[in-house]
Amino acid sequence: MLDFMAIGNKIRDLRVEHRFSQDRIAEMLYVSRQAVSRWEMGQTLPSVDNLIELSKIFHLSFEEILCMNKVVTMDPSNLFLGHDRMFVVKKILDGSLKVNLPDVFYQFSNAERIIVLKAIENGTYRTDNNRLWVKLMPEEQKLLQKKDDEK
Amino acid sequence: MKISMMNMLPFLSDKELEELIKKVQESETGEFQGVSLGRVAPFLEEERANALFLAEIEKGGSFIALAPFVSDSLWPAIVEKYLAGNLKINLVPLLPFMDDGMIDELFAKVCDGALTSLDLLSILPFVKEDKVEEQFLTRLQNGQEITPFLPFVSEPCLHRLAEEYCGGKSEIEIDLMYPFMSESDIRMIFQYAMKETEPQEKKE
Repeated sequence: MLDFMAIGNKIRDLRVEHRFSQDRIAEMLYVSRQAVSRWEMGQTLPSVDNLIELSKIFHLSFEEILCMNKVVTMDPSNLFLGHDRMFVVKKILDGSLKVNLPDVFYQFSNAERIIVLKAIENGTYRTDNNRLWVKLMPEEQKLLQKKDDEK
Repeated sequence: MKISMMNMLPFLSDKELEELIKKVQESETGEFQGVSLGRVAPFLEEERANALFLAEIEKGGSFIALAPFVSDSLWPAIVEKYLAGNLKINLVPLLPFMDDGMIDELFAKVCDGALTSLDLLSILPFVKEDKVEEQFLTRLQNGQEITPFLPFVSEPCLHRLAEEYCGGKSEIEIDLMYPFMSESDIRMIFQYAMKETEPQEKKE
């Protein structure tokens, strides 16, 4: 799972270290300065070709620019920082990202909460339901309860 | 001593609950002494919750909070009415309560462009992975927009595409996809792309 924010910081640090302006990088890669800015802010990632070019400019492997050698650390107080929100939700639900759901559930939007609850309801995601229960709105509790009622 | 209406809810009789519902409905804020319809709903019989929900939907009131308390048998008629254009409501908050069949029907219509009042991003989280991938691959083949689908496509599906790309199928929009792929697929793609650019540079 790529950490957009870490990659953006890496590109910015490398650019500054090599004393290039965003405009200069943009010129070298035939992209707009705004595109470079978006990479550095962790909003988007460079294309495959541009990343290969960046690795040549900075004399670094693509793995290093993509921070692939680093363990992705999620800030439990801001789980979604630097990531596509839905991608994070999906990773949590498929088990590849381990979180203590009841502790971080407040960070999820209403729609994301429902998606997670649906997965719990369907039995595709497991968490400590008792601890989660007290953090749910009555309508969210009902969503989980419905499944129990059916059983 | 101030008595909280909310705390009294479990002890109210049906008649008292009905009086409370009336007061909530008559209020401009949708609340009476801090109690909304959503807070009353857990204490209603399902049939009453159904009737209240339908009445609120008809008048464009606060039906969303009632949705978890209504019976599943209500949804097909609501979806049918919505698809016929006879229900002008925001369907998104109701999607979590619908079954897969209804979600599939809505999703198919959104993808066909037959249903424009519901956007793809809102319904995608509720669509089963196989349906998402089916539509994703069709769109990919037709050169249509695939970005909203990417967070919902499985790694095995993306892996197959990574393999196709590395097998020379250059029309695959790999730039959009690689951020959602596994690290091993990302390595494979970049190693392939670097190999592809090397001979050209040597020739030059």
